[in-house]
Amino acid sequence: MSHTPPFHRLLHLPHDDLLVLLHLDTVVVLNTTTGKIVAKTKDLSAPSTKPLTVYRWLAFDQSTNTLAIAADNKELACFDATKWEKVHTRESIKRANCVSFSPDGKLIIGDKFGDVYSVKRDDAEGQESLILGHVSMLTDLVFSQDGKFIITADRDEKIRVSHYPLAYDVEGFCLGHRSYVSKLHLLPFASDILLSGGGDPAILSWDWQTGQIIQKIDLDFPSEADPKSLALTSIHSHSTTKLIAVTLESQPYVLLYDAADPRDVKFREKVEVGTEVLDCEFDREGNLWVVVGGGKGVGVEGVEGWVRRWRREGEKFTEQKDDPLVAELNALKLSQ
Amino acid sequence: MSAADAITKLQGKRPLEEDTSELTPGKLPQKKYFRQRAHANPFSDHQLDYPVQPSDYDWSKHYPAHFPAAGTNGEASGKEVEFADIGCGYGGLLIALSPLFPSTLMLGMEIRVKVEEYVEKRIQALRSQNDSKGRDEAESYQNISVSRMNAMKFMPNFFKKGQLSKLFFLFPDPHFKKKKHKARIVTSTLLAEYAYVLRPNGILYTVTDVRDLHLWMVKHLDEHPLFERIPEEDLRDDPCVPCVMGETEEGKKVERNKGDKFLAVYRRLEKGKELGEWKGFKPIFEVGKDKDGEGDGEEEEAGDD
Repeated sequence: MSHTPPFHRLLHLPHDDLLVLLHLDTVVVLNTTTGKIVAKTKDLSAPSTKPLTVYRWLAFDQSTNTLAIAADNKELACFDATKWEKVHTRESIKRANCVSFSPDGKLIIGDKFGDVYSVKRDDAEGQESLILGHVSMLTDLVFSQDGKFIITADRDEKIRVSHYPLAYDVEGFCLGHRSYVSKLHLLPFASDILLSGGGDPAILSWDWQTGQIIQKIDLDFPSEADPKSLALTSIHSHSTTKLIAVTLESQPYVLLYDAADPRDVKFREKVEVGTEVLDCEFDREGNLWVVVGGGKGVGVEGVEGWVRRWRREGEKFTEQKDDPLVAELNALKLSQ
Repeated sequence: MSAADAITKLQGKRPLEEDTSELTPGKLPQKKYFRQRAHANPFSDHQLDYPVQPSDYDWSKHYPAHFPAAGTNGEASGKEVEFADIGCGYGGLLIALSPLFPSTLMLGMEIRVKVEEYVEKRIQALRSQNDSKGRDEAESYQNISVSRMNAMKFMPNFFKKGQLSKLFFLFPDPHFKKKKHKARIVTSTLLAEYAYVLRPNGILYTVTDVRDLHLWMVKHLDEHPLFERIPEEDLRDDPCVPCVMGETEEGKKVERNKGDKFLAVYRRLEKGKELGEWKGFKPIFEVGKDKDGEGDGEEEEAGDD
């Protein structure tokens, strides 16, 4: 019997030592250097609302210090990232499949019909603007560092590069995936390189402006498992260590790659977590934070907890027994 | 597809006679053996074959005279497909245009199996009947072909950026119900893809006998910054227009029924029209008005209309 995994998504804020975690319809904020819980948007032990609302997608806007969340019930909520209070809320047309902030501060949503909308985050009534659309489900979207392009991916293997804000003008496509694309990631330290993955047994690295494939990065996947069950769930990178972390659905490990030469990414290490990994993030020092499903509370039947941390010590990653930085988080009483 | 077709469903099955055109090479196939229901759901999985990218595609099976098959000695003509007929039906337009532009490659796209088979056989027969003609001679029919393909999803897989000089949408499925409007072949979002495969100054033709659909297509094309309407008087010298209006099965059916035909032709611009600050398109759906639009388009039943 599986119960609701407590924390299913992570986001580390870019210029603070803060890790944002999502649990059902609550946001929990942790200081990654002290392990102290800085904020909770709701009392976690209170019973959840019925019908159950789950916060699915996060996006953070540095310039306005806003955290945007897209929920299962079509709510788009914006939280002030200092007071951690909900400051704006609106409903999206269809349930969002991915969400991001544009360089000009608008909230951009991709939905299951493949449409991408732009909304003003602080305007609850204002109309959405349809800026582009794929014919199949939109799975991820990212902006180029200079804000001049928007890159969108869909379930029919397509990655499209469009101008921004004039997104009706397609610059090109990155064609090469043979299975759906679920995640896009632009390397912050090599902004002309796009990484993408989904159901294919390799991540593709692209020169996204020309649509040329630079490299195929193989994913370590158990040979006895059904290849159709391979599904990439996240790609994260760290600007200083130049490491890339990759998670796969239902797999109990995090794959680490070395992108010191971003055009020749090499496999570095497989961090064995022991239980299904839901998401991961690097903190500012390059330590790896992992949230798991199927874990147990700290202190109950062993050391496993919902949130685990691997410290980076030079070239190696190690998990510390009774890590104090995850103690407070793992001691939380959570509703089901 | 004409209005009459869209509303009427085919009754039962045809008697099981075999199409004998294969037994006699060069004999034209008969349409009655290749009838298929007019409507097909473009969002469902039709088990189509498509290349990962345009350079992967083997065009020799479509234009053997222009693309020699692997391992043979023939010389490629160096041509690429320039005209595309989206939803080419029984091939009337392709066959009419073929002799008018004998060295231009044209591809029809048709999602319905039986109809696509018909066009394939028809082209084979025409080529066979005219095999004494040179490759680039009018009525050799070496420059036309058909592909079973979902043009809404896979155009960029087949065509490179700016490859096409003409794009045709003749008598498209009207998808009358509001919740089906997203399935229409001309939408704000799809126009970006059509603009991608069409070269600057390339031409997009639309014709329909359904006035509502005509107004819809005109509205969306007018609103799209990369398309500009070509006025009627500028079309007088375009040899494609009479074919577009009268050379397809649908066009002829409409004439027999004394219906109206609405033509709208657009140029793909080099640069977006000056529309002031572009504010995006108006969404097809609205917040909260879910009852009409609910349901994942991809899970719609084939034949849901």
